[in-house]
Amino acid sequence: MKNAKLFTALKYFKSNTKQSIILFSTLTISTSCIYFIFSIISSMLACTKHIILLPSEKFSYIETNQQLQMQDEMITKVKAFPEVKKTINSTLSGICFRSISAYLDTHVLTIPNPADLNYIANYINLELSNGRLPIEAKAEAVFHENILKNLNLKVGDLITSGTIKTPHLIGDYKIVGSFTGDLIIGIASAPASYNNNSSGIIVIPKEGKLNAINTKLKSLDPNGTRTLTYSREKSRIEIATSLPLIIFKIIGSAILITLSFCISAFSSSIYLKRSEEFGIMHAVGYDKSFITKLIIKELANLTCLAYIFGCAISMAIITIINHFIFSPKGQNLTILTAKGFLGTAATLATMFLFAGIPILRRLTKWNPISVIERRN
Amino acid sequence: MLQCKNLSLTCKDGEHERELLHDINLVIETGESVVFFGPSGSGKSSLMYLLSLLRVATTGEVYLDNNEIMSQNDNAKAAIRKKHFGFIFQQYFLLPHLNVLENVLVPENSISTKSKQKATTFLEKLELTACINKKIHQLSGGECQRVAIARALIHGPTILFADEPTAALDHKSALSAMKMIREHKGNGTLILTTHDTSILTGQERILKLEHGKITEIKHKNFVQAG
Ligand SMILES: Nc1ncnc2c1ncn2[C@@H]1O[C@H](COP(=O)(O)OP(=O)(O)OP(=O)(O)O)[C@@H](O)[C@H]1O
Ligand SMILES: [Mg+2]
Repeated sequence: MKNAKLFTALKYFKSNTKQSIILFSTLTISTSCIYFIFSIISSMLACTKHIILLPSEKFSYIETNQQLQMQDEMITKVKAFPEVKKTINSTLSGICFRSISAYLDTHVLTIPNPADLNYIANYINLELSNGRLPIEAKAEAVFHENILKNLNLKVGDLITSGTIKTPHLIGDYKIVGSFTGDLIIGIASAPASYNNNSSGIIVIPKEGKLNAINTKLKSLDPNGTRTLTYSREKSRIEIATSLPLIIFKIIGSAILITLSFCISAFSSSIYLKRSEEFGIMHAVGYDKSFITKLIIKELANLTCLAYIFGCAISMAIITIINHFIFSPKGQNLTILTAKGFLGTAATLATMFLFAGIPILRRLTKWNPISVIERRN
Repeated sequence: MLQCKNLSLTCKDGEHERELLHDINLVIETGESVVFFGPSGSGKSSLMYLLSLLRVATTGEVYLDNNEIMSQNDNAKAAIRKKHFGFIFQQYFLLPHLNVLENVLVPENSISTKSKQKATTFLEKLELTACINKKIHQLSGGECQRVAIARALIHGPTILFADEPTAALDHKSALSAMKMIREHKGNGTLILTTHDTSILTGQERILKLEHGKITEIKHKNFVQAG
């Protein structure tokens, strides 16, 4: 208490409870909206990336058109690459996943050879949460839990190709199990006779050789060849997310700009009303740098408090929404996101500047007595 | 010593420019008590603002102990006000979000026990003990004026500007407020404006302000005029 100062950063707000509560809750609510917007956008990107990009970080896939001879040639070639750890006969198709932003195609790998199927299951650290793995000679499938939730399917259901949910699926399968793990995909078995009918191969790289393999795969005859590589999947993400992302960004920016503008106008109006107070302080002998620092400290304290509370509130809301709306659909909003924290901080900092600059600019032009006698 | 040379102040009066103060030259010695006397609107407050660096003159200079101070920058002027000047404003200009005690502590920016004790003593002398924790909007005009007096004196200014410091007070409180002001003036300088001649002791130097000009009045004439 010995050197305690009269003018502290929160003094004014402590003495003007009503006004402070209004300003603080406006700031806090805005902060939580901002965090929410950033979180939604980054969740959307994360979800898309997770579904599309993650499989292609584990393996690549290549297929040719139906000419068997060509395919054999190609397979032999690929198998000979020194970077290849293993190749697996497989047919790649897809199943719909309704993500936050768009309908995405998740991969379904049909693998006729049961040893291969087990190999892949191990390779991707698949953990069965329900049921069992597909067995030989039957058209059975296991899917990641989230896919089943998303499509409202369960173990035991039959999934047929060509429906609205399965426009790209090849074959009809009985769902015999679900799993958890990083890769959101489906793995299916097929009658043994399909083994040689697989349209392509899964290429599993040796440790750290994915890029090298992908470059080589790309250089194979591109005509009639379909490859699934990291870079191709990346461009698929761009296509899947570009439009919704633009829309989100436009709406988000509009909300952010409106919010920032309102908050800045609101807080600077509070501060401009306090001109008289600052004028009196100046008249009594406080210099402008003291007053400037006081204003900056006040705004910074308020903004920081609003930031902490706003983010916390937003995270609580996201958790609730996740639990009741997204989680049952196999989707997830990211609760803690660096983008959310940074984006919110950046927006608040901008607001802080917009609110502070007119106040401080006015302060520099001051002549104390005309301010306090309201002759400006 | 506070001195001004060729001080003029023009104001916008609607479309026209009005010369409020015209070529004022004045030397106020340290320790003097000076009273500006004159009709309402004659520019007494304006002259005090100029001398205390709260306003900038249209032309002219102000010297404090032979240093020109009016042309200094805002921060330097604020520092001079903080160190040397105390000001009792005609309209009090207290800070509404602070209570009485805190308002008195404004020039010191301290809420240490020592500062609080000092402020409390000032408030006691001005019979404001009961108001110490009140907010400004809960005070009467006279109480506000006394708080303003305490605030102007707390940091021991060498030059006290008192613009109608007793206008809102009854005769008895006015006299005791003036007694306190004089006590705390010590060897310092007092620059006063008032309409109430009964608060003067007769020792003051009286300056009449009219039509933007200052004339020095002998005490006798002044009493006759008053
Ligand atoms: N910034 C300004 N702009 C325009 N007019 C001003 C300004 N400042 C002061 N005036 C005018 O100058 C005149 C003198 O004002 P001032 O307050 O100095 O008078 P005063 O002698 O203190 O009067 P009173 O005894 O009523 O307090 C008034 O008519 C006032 O309206
Ligand atoms: Mg006046």
